[in-house]
Amino acid sequence: MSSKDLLSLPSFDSLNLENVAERETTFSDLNQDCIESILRFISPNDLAAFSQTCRLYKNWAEQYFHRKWKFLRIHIRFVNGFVRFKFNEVYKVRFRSLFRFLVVEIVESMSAQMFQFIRDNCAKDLVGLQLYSDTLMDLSQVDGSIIAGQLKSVEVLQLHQVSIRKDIYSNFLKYCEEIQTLFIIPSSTLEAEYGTINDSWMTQRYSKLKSFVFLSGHSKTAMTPNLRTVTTDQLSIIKSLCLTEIDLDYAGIIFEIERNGTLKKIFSCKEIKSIRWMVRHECLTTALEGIPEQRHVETLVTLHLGKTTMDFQSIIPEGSLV
Amino acid sequence: MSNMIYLQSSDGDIFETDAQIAKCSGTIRFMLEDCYMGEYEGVLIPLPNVNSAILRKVLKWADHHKDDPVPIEDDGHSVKQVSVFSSWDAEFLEVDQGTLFGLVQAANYLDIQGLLDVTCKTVANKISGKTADDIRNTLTTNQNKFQDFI
Repeated sequence: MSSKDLLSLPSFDSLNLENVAERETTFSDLNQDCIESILRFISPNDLAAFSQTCRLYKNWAEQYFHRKWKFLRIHIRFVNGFVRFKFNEVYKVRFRSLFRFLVVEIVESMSAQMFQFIRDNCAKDLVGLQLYSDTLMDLSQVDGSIIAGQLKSVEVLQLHQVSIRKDIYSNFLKYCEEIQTLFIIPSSTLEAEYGTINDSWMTQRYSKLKSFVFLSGHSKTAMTPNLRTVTTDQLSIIKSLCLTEIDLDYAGIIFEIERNGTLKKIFSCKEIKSIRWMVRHECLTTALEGIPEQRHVETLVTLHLGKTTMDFQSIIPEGSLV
Repeated sequence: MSNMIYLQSSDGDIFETDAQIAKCSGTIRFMLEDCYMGEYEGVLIPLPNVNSAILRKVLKWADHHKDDPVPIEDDGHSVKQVSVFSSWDAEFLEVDQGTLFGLVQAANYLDIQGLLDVTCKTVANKISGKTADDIRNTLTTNQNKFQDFI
């Protein structure tokens, strides 16, 4: 190599970082951390579009969806074995295999096809499942083991209009090892009062259960040391919990007006940080007069529900879902 | 009491700034408080990932926002408070895309949550409501295409 060749080599100065620094930053220069910061501000549909721009971003968008939209509720309707999405948006096609929180409406009767659809299409690590039906929902009709693997990771389970005269434990609840929030609305008060309730599910221990919502029914309950919040229309459930070692963060009571006198007993029992009263009937002022002096209660929310159908979403204890 | 420190950009320029202003960057705050134990008068901090043009912008933003309330420490559970998008910020971010992406990158590297929020929101607005093709066209230039099309 002659000295002339050496001279023609680019000098160190022209090779240095300056050129790199001078080059304009492009979108592709942004790392995954930066891209995720941007994705915080876009909707699931925009995320779906973004995921189609290139393979790398598809991967990142899916990872992000999986984490960020963990509790995004996906509404599915099962009508005579067919699946319908409530709103047919783009992301529901694109991210189907990432759905972790399903709200399943069952029109007509339960069928194994419904569980097969969930098993074959939705995320393997479900976090939430909500099943509701216009008519009586009989969980013993279908084989819960079809989605056993997915139930295993479920943290939030809501069953509306479920028949509690049938065994819902051995076919369904026993698979839910991670359950933290259990929400059970039996098919009707009448059924509960009818006598022959299968209460095997109530006497089980759910080791991770923190929040329990149970309307209409029995006074027995699954007591776990982790239980933090209870919402029920059965005062006896809250009272019996107060007598144990469990300190509740939250208690919600849905009560008929004539029951408010007994509420005083709750306040004197145990420390409850937050209590919400939900009045079914319209004598709100009469209900308020019944509030005793509370030493333990930090917040008191009075919610007027009126006579019509209750909005079940509004009685989910704060913080139990997110 | 003035507490001036020096920041060196990737292209070697040195910027003098008040330590209080520079401390809106988590990265710089960490260096000053942990590495120099609070004795940082006249310290020079090299920032090899930020060029002069971007650093100048960042310091301008930091100076304008120096009196903003300190964001509450994120405990990992609560939703991060997203900074308010003021008209000053909107005007500040009327820049070409290269600068905008440069600012996102710098805010991320320097750990300035407020600047990251406003810049990312600006980029997000460019993506919202578009198809994949439109997004590609919006975010890239002729010289720079996404490498790996589906």
